[in-house]
Amino acid sequence: MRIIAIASGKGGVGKTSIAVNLGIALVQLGRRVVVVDTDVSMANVGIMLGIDRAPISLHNVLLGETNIRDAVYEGPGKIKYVPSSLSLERVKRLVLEKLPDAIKELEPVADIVLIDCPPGLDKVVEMAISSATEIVVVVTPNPASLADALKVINYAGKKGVIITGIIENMVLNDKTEVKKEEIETLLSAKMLHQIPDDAEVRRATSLQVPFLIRNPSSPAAREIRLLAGQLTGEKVVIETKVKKGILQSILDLIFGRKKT
Amino acid sequence: MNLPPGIIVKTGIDTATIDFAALLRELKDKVFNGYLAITVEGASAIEEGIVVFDNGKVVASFYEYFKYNKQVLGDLAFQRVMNAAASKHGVADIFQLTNDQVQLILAFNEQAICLPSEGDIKKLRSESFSPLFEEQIKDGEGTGTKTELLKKFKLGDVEKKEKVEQVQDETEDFLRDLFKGKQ
Repeated sequence: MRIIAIASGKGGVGKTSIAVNLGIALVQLGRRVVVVDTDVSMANVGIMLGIDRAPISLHNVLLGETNIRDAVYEGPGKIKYVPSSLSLERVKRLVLEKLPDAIKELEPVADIVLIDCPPGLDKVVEMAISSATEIVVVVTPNPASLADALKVINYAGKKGVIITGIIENMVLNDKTEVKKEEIETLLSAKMLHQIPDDAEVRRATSLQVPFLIRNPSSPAAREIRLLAGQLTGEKVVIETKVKKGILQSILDLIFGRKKT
Repeated sequence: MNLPPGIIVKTGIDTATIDFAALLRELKDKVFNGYLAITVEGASAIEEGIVVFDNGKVVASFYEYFKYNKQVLGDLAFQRVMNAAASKHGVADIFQLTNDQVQLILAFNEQAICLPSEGDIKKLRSESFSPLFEEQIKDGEGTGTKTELLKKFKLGDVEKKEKVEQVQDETEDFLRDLFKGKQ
């Protein structure tokens, strides 16, 4: 079982969105995937999937009340996930040290576990990273994001967690952005994939539907599917629809050409 | 990396036969001051890693890719040294320094400071040499060094502060243990 921590240090770079949609893309490649929301104080995975009720959560697991497999739910796109509680009740009593062993117990039900880490580098994040066998760091192309990512990468390196690579999110390809090569050098890690800034991601997030399901052909969705292929070593074919012009449509209508 | 030559303790240790973790333990037991240089044949060129010891404790690390003229420092360098130790084609040399010389190295190379615990060393131990680290360096070619980029984006303090916090944490742990022992 691969246990991949999706971390960033900085908040708002799209970790949860990437974890959820990458999870769905991996399911589409035939993998059994469980996304674990380790943001015990600001849980987001359930909200992003549009699911509000989760009677058993990671909180119950970290309080020693239940096995993690009892907290696994199925979401859209057949993705499995372990939510954190939306309530802050008892959050201070959580035994975070239980996390690594709890995640290992997902082995019979998962090929890949994606740990959605909270922002920052507090004890929760440290335990989440220590639970993983590898880490993927999400950054946006600006110095503040890189400063935080650097701390996360250094911490992971120290803990012996393999740094699989970087995902650069919300890329505009603007001249003011930090260059891909600069990010790789600064973080001493390989760029796995760049995800473009895509309005569809914001729309899907507002509507609480993963963008891979709402609009599978959106630029961000295409890149996430390619990323899933890259992580699994599988070839992913992306079909591109060619938009027909008005003249072509009229000609097709007149000459009765079949739709392609 | 330019370090004082010091006194030769041992040279030409074959990485194919070395138990690197045991060697680190031995240097710890001997309260060694100095450095260990490991030179290996990487995927496409020679790489060199250095581990600095302060009274037996690993305190800094450097790793250099001569082909790309790139250097990695601190924890990430130590991770690469552990990888290099798994190489079948390399040698390690050990040089003794005075503790003052070690302190000078640390003072002038704050970004290279790393303080791996025995648990970290155990975790970083590698069975076989991975060329992946070189790939990462290769891909970042032509953009300036990491140190230059840290300066460019005004991030120089990020790594430095982290080291200071780490030392503070370790001191707190030490004092807590000491206090517990006395109770």
